[in-house]
Amino acid sequence: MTVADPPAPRVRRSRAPGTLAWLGAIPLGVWMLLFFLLPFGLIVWYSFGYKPDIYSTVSNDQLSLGRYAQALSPAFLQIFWRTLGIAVIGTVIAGLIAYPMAYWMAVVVPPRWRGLVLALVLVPYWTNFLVRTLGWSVLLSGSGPLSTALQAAGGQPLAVLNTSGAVQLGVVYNYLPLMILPIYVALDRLDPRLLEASRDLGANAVRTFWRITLPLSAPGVTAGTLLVFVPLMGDYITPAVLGGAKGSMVGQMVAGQFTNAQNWALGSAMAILLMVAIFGVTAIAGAVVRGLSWTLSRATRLVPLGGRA
Amino acid sequence: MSPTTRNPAASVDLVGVGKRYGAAWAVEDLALHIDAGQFVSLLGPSGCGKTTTLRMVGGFELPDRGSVLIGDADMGSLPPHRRPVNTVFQSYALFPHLSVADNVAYGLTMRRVPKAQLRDRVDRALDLVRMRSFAGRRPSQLSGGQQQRVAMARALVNEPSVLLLDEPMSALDRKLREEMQVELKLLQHELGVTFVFVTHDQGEALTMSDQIAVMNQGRLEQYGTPSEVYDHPATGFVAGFIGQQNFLSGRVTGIRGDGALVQTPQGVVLATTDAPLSTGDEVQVAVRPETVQVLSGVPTAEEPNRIAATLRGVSQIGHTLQLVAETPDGTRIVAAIPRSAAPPTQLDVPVTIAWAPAAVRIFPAGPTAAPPTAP
Repeated sequence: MTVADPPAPRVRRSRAPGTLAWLGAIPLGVWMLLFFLLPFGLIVWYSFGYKPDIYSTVSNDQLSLGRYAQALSPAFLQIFWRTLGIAVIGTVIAGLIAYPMAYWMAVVVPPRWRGLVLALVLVPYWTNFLVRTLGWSVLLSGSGPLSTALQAAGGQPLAVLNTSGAVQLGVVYNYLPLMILPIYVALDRLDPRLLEASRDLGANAVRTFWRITLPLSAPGVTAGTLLVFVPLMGDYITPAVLGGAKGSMVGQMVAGQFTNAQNWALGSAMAILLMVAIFGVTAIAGAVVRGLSWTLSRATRLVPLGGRA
Repeated sequence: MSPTTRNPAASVDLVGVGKRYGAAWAVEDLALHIDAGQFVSLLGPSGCGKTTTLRMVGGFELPDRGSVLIGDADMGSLPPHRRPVNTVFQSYALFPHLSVADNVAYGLTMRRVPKAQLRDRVDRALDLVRMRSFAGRRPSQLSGGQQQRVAMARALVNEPSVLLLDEPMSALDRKLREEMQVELKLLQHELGVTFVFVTHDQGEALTMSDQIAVMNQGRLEQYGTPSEVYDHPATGFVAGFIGQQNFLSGRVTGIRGDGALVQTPQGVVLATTDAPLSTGDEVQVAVRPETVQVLSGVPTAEEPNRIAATLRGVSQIGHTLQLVAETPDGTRIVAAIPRSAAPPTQLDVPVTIAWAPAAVRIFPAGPTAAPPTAP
C-alpha cells in the first residue's frame, strides 16, 4: 500500500466522433425558438405597446413603459401579494406533506408495492386538471355533500368555497404529486447503508435524518419546490374555479387582459412583471437557503465543501 | 491512538443465537466465544450466515433466539448507535456529501467531542491509515483502497471495543488486497482491538486470524486456529472449503489398531484415525495435495495408499510443481510437490500415487464444500 496510488480518474464523456454531432441539437433548438423565445419575445415587445382602440388588441407604433406603470396598480399589487402568499404557503404545505409521503414510499413500503403506490400518486394526474378542480368545488360548496353532512350533524353550512382558503386547498391538492415525485426519486437513490453507517457511528434516527438523509435528498426538495412554486404562481384555473372574487390570483388578471379586456399590451406587461417577480423570489429563496446551509456547514464541519458533487 | 484508548478491547459472546428470515434460519443455534483483543474471522460461502451474524453483533439485526454479549453486557435489543462497536462496511458507505475529514469526524461529532480535540483525533486516525493528506477530498475522488482506509479510520477514531469488518477487501484487486491484509493485521496488533472479520476468502482468513469460525448453512462447522482448521478439519465441509483436497469415496472394510482400511474404487486407503468407525460405513477420505507423493512406475505390490495412475498435467506454481494424475476410472488426483524433490514430469506415463496414513482425513460420506480437486 502506498499513499501515492492515484485517485480514481474522473470520467469525462468523450466527444462524439465527427464534427456533425451538433446537428442532433437542431430539433431542440427549433423547438426552443418556436415555442419559447419567439412567444417570449412577442410578449416583451407587446408590453411596450398600447391598446389603440376598442377593436384592436395591441399596437406598437409608440413605445413606452406606460403599461408597466398601469399594471402596478393597487389592485394588481394586492392580488399579487395574495398570489405570492398562496404560492409560498402552498409550496411549504406541499413540501411538508410530500416529504414524509415520499420517505414512506421510498423507505418503508416494500419494493414490490412501490409501483402500485407510485401509480396511486399519479392516478389523479390522468384526469383533467379542470375536472379535478371542479370536483373540489362540488365537494366544498355550501350545498355540497360535505356541507349537508355537517349540517345533519348539527353544524353550520360550509363557507369555504370562493375564499382564498379554498384556493389554498386546491393548489396543494393539484401540485402535490409534483413535489412527491422528485423527493421520492432522491430518497429512493439514497443508499440505506449510509443510514446504517450513521447509526453505527453513534447517531440516533433524528440526527441521522438531519445529517445524512436530508442533505442527500436536498436536490429532490429543490426540484420539487421549483416544480410546484413556479407554475403555482401563474395558475389561474384553480382560483377561477374555487376562489371567486375573494380568492383571485394574478394569473387570472393576466388571462383577463388577453381574453375579456382584449388588452394584450397591458396583459403582456403584467405577465412580464409576474415572471420577474417569480424569478426574483426564487433567487432570493435560493440565496437564503445557500447562506443558511453554508453557515451551518461552517459550524459543524472540519472541511466545508462548496457546491455539490 | 493507543495512548488515549477509551474503550478497552472487549470479548464477544454469542449464546445460542438464531436468526430467521421467513421460514428459513439464516443462523441457527450459534455459540461462539471471542476473546478480547483477538482477530477472529467468520468464514464461509455466501449465504452461510456470516454477515447476518456480524449484523447481529452490530445491532442491525436482532436475534430471534439467544443473546449477544459484548464484554459482560447483554446487548438485548440495544440499537447500533448505543453499542460499543463500529463497523467497516463492505462498500465502505462513506458519506458522499462530506469530506474525508468530516467522514472520520462524524462519530466524534455525534458524541459531542469538543472541536479542538476533534481535529486532533481525526488527524491521528488519518495518520494511522496514512490518509492525512487526503483530508479535504471527497470520497468520490478516492480510489477503492483509499476509501477502504478512510472507512477504517472512520470506525477506529471512535475507539470501539470491537471492530466489525464486513468483507472490507472484496472490492480491492488482488495485489492491494494482499497488502491490506498485512496492514490490517499489524493495525489490529497495534491497537489491541477485538476484530470480527467476515470473509468468504479462506486465504484471507488463514493469513490474518487468531481464530477462524467456519460457517455453513447457518451453522458453525468448526472454531479454531488457522492451523487447527487447516490440519485438523472437523468436518468434510471444512476439509473441502479450506485449502485444496483430494476426496475419494469408499467403504470401511477393516479396523486396525491405528486406523481404518477403506476400499475405494481407486484402491485401498489406510487412514490413521481415532474416529468411531465400524466396518461397512460409507466414508470419504481426504488427502491434501502437498501430502501426495508421485513415484515413477506402477505399484509393485497390492499395498494400501498406493494407487496406479497416469500423469496428465504438470504446472509450475512458484517453487511448487502441481501434478495432476488420473486413475484408470478417470478420477483426478492433485499433488503439490517442491521442485527440489524432482518428481516425474513426463506426461502420459504410468505413475504411483502414494501418501502416508497420517496424511489422510476421514469423514462420514456426505456433501463437501468443493468438488474434489481443481486440475
